[in-house]
Amino acid sequence: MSAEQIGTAELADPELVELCRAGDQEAWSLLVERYSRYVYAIAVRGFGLAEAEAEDVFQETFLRVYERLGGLRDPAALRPWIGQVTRRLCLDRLSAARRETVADEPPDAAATPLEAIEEAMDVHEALRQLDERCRELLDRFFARDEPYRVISEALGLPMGTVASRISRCLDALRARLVDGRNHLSTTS
Amino acid sequence: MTIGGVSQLTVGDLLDLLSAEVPGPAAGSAAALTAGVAAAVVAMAARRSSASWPEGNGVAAQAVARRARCLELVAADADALVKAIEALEGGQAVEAPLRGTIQVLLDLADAATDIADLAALTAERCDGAVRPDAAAAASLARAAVEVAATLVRANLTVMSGDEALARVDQRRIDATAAAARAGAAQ
Repeated sequence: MSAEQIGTAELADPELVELCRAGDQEAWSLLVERYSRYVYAIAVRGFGLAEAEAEDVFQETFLRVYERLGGLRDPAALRPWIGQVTRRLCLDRLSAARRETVADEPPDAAATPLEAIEEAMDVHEALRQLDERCRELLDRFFARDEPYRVISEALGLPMGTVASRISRCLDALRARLVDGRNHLSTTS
Repeated sequence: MTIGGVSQLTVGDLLDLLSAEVPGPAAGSAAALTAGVAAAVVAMAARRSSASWPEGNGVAAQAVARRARCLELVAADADALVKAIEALEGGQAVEAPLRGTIQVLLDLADAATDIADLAALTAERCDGAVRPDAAAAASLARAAVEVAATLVRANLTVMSGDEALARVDQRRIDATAAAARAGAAQ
């Protein structure tokens, strides 16, 4: 079965890896789409690389992932593995840049800690696992700042129940975050 | 005035800015700040009740999100007001900058009404020890909505039948109902 047949949003990383290994181009596109922001965030926000350098790291990371995916022992550890590949390539870039400059530039003070990027990815992944209704509620309230009345009218929910439903969706999100972290800690 | 700037000001600095003669933050910003304070009190009451109220932490998270929104609106209202005053004093077209101030006030009415709703829900479910705090937060949030409605009405470009008036009036009704629910829970 291909990624297209399964439905890309539901595809978990181990299934995705399996399909990529089988040569499914749709699955490969999904893998790149799922992790492109992650790789880019590590390069630009985590290591403070310039745009052109980050683009090079991006290309090299996915080339390496493509070439070595067959050797990944635990398909569930796809994300930590991609993160590790990206970090190594970023460090290589920084080391090469240091050798070429007389004086080292101070590290970019605005760089986002890598932990924050991992946390954002954890949330993104946990959100992906929620049902569509919860995803929409959380997106409308937290990302789009829609008021309860607007959410209530758009989704056909009684006005007085929206906040409680959002709370329950947050509980579900938290549970998935905990599960995801427990899983990552046993696989990475 | 920037959002980051607002969050780094001391309360005293912010009150000095509000008291200043030069154009800057005024009643709209004060209302946004009031709504932000109400959201903070709701978050406190909800968190302190989370042992007996499983939804408390989720309600607190929503209150914290709206608190952040209100801080943005403290700065946004001051910026919009300064632009409108500059246009008026400079003899430029004023409709667009005045409409900008209305949009900020409508956003404030939305956020503050949500906070009043959260305060009412908290007052109904929270521990008895913090119930008066939740009810007080509902009153603060409702006051912020009232101020937003008053300022929308005072705007030169708003005529009766304007969609902005209908929207802000609906928020007033919702916030008043929420404050009444919170009061009844005591």
